[in-house]
Amino acid sequence: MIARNLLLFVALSALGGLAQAQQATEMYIPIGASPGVSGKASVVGTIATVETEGRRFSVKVGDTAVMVTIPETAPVWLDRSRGKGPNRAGSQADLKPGLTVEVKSRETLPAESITAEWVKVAVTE
Amino acid sequence: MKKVDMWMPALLAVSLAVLAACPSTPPPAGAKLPPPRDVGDPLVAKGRELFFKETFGGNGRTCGTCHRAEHNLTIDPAFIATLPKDDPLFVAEFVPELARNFENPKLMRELGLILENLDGFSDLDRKFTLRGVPHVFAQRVSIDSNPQDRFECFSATRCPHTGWSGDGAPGTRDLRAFAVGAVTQHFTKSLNRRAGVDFRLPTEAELDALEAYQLSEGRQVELQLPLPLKSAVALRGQALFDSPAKGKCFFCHFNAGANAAPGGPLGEGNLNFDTGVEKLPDHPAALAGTPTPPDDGLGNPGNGTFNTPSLVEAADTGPFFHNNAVATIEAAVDFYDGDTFNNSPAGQGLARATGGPIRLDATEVSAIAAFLRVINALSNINELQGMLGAVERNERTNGEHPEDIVHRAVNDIDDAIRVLNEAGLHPDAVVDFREARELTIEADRHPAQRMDLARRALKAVNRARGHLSG
Repeated sequence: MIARNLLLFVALSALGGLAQAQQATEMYIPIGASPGVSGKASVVGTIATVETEGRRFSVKVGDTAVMVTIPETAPVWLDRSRGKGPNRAGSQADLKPGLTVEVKSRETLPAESITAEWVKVAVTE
Repeated sequence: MKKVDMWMPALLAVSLAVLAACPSTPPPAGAKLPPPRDVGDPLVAKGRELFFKETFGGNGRTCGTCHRAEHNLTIDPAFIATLPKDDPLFVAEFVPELARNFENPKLMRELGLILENLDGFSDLDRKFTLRGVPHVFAQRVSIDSNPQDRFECFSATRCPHTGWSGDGAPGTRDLRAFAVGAVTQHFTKSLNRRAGVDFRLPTEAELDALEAYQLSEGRQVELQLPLPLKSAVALRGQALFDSPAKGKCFFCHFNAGANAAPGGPLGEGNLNFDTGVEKLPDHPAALAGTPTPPDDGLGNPGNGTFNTPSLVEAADTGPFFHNNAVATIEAAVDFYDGDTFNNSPAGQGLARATGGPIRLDATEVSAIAAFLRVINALSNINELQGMLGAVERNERTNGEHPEDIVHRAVNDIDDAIRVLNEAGLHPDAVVDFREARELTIEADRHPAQRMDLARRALKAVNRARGHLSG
């Protein structure tokens, strides 16, 4: 049993650095429409503040605010579905106060601060 | 000594060595799939209808465009050659918006390869993979989908494996999410992929139905090896398959399924391995003058690993491996005897743990392939028993009318005949299969006698089964 537990520990430890599953098609799913994700493992709200330094912004969700950290590996996607335009890859520079945003959280929700797995921001142009 | 006890030490050593060489994701412990549903369940019937008929407002393709009901829920070059030129499979050939970077029509027709942008859509000219179409039988026992506890699937270590590299789905990564990804990738009218314009996303109810249908297809339980096979060659192949010293196949394909052997440190789940398939020389695509970008497997960037498929349904669902590298089950078995596998991370780990690489002579390769052919035919028989039984009772199965079931039954009988004939196995069973085929065709021609003819066909199928296994 000890040996088996040890092996299990080794196995799980080795998995820590694994790449996440591919997210390619997620980019094309409009904000709030990702089945099983939207509203369950993501927050949808309005960008309240954006830090000029660092990779952080806050999202207003109802009466609460959630602080979001964006790792360099987390993609930002531009949701242009309201204008029936194609969704595109964006960047942190596209995150501006007042815009609708969806953030897939790496942490269990609800939480006051989360790390983004990906970010979708609604743009109209 | 119980079988599990005998190979447990070797399994533990192999698991460690292989793990060190090629990262794999363990299954969710205690993962729960939705319970099996009755063949008459309306949700399954709805899912089947969606799978084969719903285009989701897109380019005309359905899930069944590639996962054909009449061809083991997959496609291959020979089947593709029988399709009319306006079949939705060929949309890249007649829809101008999809003419470039949506498919590679040459490799689709010659090798049965489908284009996937698994690592993103940022550079369509260079970032894509070309993969074969896996059948979707036995999903219930081949993935670790955990749709009843979706949040658990959001961690890196507790996710279902869908698709060739185990990461074919966005979001929750389960079969429900897989459908969303597939619609977005394959159903779109244009490369803009605008939801609501180029296609519509499936509703939650449709995703539930699609998942229920897919989980209902094929085997619902694992085989329990060893089977009392009657062919001496297949019996020897089974022994080699389950030998920790020779074939070593069972380490990753326990009971010839898609899951690793139980008792190991990784649990009983469906795992990923880097077996070196991408490094095989003379890939048919390269020989055809159309080299393709390297496929890096799981993740973005990929870690070179691919998902373990079930082997029970393999013999009649080739070509084999994620890139359709080889056409026959014998060549697929022989891959593990070659330098490419034995020099791969998975092969090296296996060799270190078991004292050497896999070495099989031609007769041993043939024997393992014969075993796989026979269990494939037995799988066909199991399906036929369900199908012909339903026709005999004049019942629908998953919403499918007996008239349509009869058509599929003929296809399954043809498959059983083919997989046995190609290796000269069980000519006695083939005679019974041929009789069953004639009776099933008659059942199609004479609706008034359909039930009686199905009953007689079923008897012939059962006689064939008696030739294969005790």
